[in-house]
Amino acid sequence: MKKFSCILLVDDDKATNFANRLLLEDMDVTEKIMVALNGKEAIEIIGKACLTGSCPELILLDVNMPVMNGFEFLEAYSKLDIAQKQSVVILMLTTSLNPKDVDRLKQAPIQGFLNKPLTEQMVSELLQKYIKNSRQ
Amino acid sequence: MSNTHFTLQEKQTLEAEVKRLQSRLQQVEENLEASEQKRQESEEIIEAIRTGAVDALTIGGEAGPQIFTLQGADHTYRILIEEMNEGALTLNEQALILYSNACFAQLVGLPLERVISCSFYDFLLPEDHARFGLLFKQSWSLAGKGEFVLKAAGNTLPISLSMNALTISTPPAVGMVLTNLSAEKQILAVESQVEAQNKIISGKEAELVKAKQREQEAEQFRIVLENIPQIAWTNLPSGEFIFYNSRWYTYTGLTVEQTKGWGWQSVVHVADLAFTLDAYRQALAREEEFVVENRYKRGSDGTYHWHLTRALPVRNQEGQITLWVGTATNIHEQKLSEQANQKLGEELAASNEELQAANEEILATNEELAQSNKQLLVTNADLDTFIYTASHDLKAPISNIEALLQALLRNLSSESLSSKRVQQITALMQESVERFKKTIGNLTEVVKLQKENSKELIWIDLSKVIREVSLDLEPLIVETQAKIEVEIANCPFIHFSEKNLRSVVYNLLSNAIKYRSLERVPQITISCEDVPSYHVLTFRDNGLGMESKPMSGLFTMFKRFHDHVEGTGIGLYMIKKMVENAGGKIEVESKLDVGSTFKVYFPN
Repeated sequence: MKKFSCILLVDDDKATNFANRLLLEDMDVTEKIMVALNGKEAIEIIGKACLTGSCPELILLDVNMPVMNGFEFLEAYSKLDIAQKQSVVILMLTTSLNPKDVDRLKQAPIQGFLNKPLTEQMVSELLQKYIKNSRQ
Repeated sequence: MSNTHFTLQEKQTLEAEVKRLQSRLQQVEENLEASEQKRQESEEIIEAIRTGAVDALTIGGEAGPQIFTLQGADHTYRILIEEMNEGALTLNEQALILYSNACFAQLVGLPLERVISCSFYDFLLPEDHARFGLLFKQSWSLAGKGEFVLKAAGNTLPISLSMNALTISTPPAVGMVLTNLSAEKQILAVESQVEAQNKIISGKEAELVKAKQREQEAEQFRIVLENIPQIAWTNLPSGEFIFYNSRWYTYTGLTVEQTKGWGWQSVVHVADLAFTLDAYRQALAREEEFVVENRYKRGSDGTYHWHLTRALPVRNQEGQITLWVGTATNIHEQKLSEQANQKLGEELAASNEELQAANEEILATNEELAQSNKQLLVTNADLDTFIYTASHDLKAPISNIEALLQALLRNLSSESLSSKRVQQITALMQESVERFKKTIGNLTEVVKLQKENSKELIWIDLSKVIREVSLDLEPLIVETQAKIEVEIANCPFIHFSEKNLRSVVYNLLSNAIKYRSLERVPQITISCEDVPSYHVLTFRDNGLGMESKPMSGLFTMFKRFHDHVEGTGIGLYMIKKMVENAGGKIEVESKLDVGSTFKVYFPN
């Protein structure tokens, strides 16, 4: 069975991170799971990981976070000088129904956005969509 | 002649003859000259007679002096001399009277025949003889004049006489003219007296004329003054009042005696007297118009009435003031209304001030309102933010619960999962999570609705909207076998927000089906009609219906009347808001177990 090599969860809500980690582990869809509590941590983790050649293949990004939120992360990420950027899939996980935020999400340089909570069905679809396309 | 020869005798005779002829010629010439002289004299005499210098000529001849009068010329002058009022005499060298006219005879009181040939000295006083002698002697060469006293009929008369030598007269004579001075003197005296008297008279007359003029002027004034509708008077330049028209006496109730001079002061209001007198005296002194507003006491009731008192000077031709004419016009009403106006004006000003204050208050209030509005807008925005934030913050934990519940279900042993109790618990948990999510979703919808209301209204094809909503509800319609009739020919287009119209139709149509009676096949009629100002869209069903009592709460948020049917209680609240915000309204008629009719009024 094909798996993600590495998934980075970016969310300030530890319960969300816990539930998502649990789901991903239970489904056994990734080799490695990394967790960042805000955008800034995520940038640092990505910087380090990419240097050692273990860039996350999938990033699940929350919108509202302290220190550096999802949109600020995207801006900082675009300035990162990393070779594997092209193969990184970024999806935003959100609960926001604010039309402004929805508009902004549609404009963002991401592959898509998902409404929380993350479900088995969503993960299966992701696996099918990205691992199949990228690995074959 | 050279060849003619005369003898000496002949020569002598001839020479004597020549001499004789020459002397004869001389004689003739002398005669001629004398004749010429006489002719000239005659001419002069004629001239003298013609001009009246002499009236008769006494011409000396061989027969003695002879008096000649020249017929023709004489006659006129004789009459003149006889008729004139002066005495006329001719005197010879001895002062004997050769001629006297009748007037002289009359002066001396003697018949004419007794006067002629008398000595003129006989008619003079002895003491004047010498003086007359001198004058008479002088008058032969020079004209003489003098005044003497004439003795006449036991009386004496002062006379003036003038004498002139009648040079061509032979024998020589002096012509004398006498004038009776007594008469002249009397006349003169009378005349001078008359003149003096005349002067006096003319002076008096002028005065009289003036006085009369004044009188007339005054009279004219009086007539005018009597007939004007105000109190009127005349006063002297000194200030004394000389005349008041009858209106004065009627008004003040005073008598002429009481008013005379300065008596008028008694009816002037005490408060006005000082300035009235001041102004009056100033006007008199400066000869300028006198104007003052003051009060006079009315005799009939003792009340004081305001008058406009004015006086103007009247000048004669010389520019002197002879009279002042004054009037007093009753301005009481005006004055009172003026005072009232003033008061009114003050009140108005006060009101204006109040108004202004009120205005300022309103302005302040408006400002406050604007402030409140601003705050409200901020609050609204805050509320939006709050709702989104709240929904997000609520959604996050509920998502977690949902995710964790799924994780729990994955991690429970199959034994545990087969327990009926566990299944019940997890099912209710899942249901609660769903309910929670839906409520949050509805809250978000309400906020979206506020935004939608600010959108532009357009004309929407009603049949199209109904068709599309029916398609959305097709599963429900099929399941319930609901019959829907659409009769909207009367108003195919509705002026409204398209999204909101869809919501209205969706909510009312789905409600009509949802709250159907299980005992009948749902029958729904959608109709439309035009009433003044509105298009009325009607949804009639034969469903459960409602009791009329709780209907007032029908459109409140989260109100639900039938708990057996799935619903959030937000639909009617939302569509009511949509319609009311656009200036329309919704009416409901319902009967329990018969059906409901919803009427939506869209303003057109």
